Amino acid sequence: MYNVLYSLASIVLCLLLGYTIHFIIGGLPPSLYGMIILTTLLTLKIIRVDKLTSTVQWIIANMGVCFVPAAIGIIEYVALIKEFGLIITAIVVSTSLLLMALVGFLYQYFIDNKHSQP
Amino acid sequence: MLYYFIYSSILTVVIIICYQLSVQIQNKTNSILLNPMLLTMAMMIPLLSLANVSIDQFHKHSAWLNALLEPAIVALGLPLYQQIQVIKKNIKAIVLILGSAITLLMIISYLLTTLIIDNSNIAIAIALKSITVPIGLALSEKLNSIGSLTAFMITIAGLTGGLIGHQWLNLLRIKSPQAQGLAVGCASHAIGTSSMSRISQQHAAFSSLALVLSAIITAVIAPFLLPFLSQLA
Repeated sequence: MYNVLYSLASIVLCLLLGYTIHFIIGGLPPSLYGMIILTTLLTLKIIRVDKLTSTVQWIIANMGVCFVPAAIGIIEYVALIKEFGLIITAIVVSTSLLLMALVGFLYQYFIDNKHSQP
Repeated sequence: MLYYFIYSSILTVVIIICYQLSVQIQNKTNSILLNPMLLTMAMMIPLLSLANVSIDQFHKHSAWLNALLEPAIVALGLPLYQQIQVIKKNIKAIVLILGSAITLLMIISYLLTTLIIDNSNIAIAIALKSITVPIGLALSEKLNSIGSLTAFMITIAGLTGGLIGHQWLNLLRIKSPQAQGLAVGCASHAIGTSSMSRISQQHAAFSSLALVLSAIITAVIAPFLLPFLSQLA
C-alpha cells in the first residue's frame, strides 16, 4: 500500500513539475515533460525504482482504457468524412503505414548490421 | 451536480467494463484482429446511439478517464528509464532515422493531398497527423489550418498504429521490439504507444521515446517546411 502511494505521489509530482515547465517555456505538453522528468529523477535515484515498478507497470498495462474517449470521439467527425470523402482517411492511413514501415525498416537494418559487426 | 456525478460514474464504469471485457476476449482468443480498443469501440458506439447519448454529453461525462491520460503518459517514464542504456548507445541513429523519415513523410503527405484534393488547409492537417494532439493543435493554429480537422487526422493516424501497427510490422518482417516500438510511437503517438505498452517493456520504452522525439522533430521542422511546400505547390 505504501508503494502504491509512493508511486502515485511520484507521478503527480512529475506531472506538476511538467506543468510548471510548460507554463514557463511552453513547447511540449505537460505530460511529455512529466515523462522526461520521471526518467530523469529515476536516473538520479531521487525516486526509487524498486518501490515504483509494480504499480507503474499495472498503470501502463491498463492505460489503454484512458484512450477510449478520444477514440470514440471520431464519430464526431462523421460529417467531416462525408464532406471531404473517404479519400482523406485513406491518405492518412496509408501514409501512417508507410511511416511505420520506413522507421521500422531503417532501425531494423541499423541494429542488424550493428550486431553482425564484431 | 448530483446528476453530473451519477451520469459520469455510470459512463466511466461502462467504459471500463467494455474495455476489460475486450481485454479478456483478446486474452482468451488471442486473435490479432480483436484489438481491445477496436472491440471497445465496436461495443460502445452502438451502445451510445441506443442510449441516445450525444457526443457532447459523452465528452462531458467521460472527462474523468480523459483526466487520467496525463498521469498515464507520465508513467511511461519508467520503461524509458529501464531502457536508457540501450537508448543512449543508439540515440544518434534513432534521431537521424526519425528525423529523416518524418521529414520525408511530411513532404509525401502534403504533396499527395495537394495533388488529390488541392486544399492547403487539409494538406497541412494531414502533414501534422503523426504527433500528439496538443502539439498538433498548436502547430495547426500557427500554420492557419483547421483545428478540428487536424484533431481528426491525428486520431485516425493514432488508431492506424494502435489497431494494426503490430500486425503490419510483423507482416513486413520487422520483428525487433525496438524497431516496432519506435515505428508505432513515431506514426501513432500516444494511442500507438498505449497499444505497444501491452506487448513488452522494450516496446513501451521505444514507443515512448519516439512519441517524445517525433513531437519535438515535427514542432521544429513543420513551421519551415510546410509554408515552403505550399509556395512550391
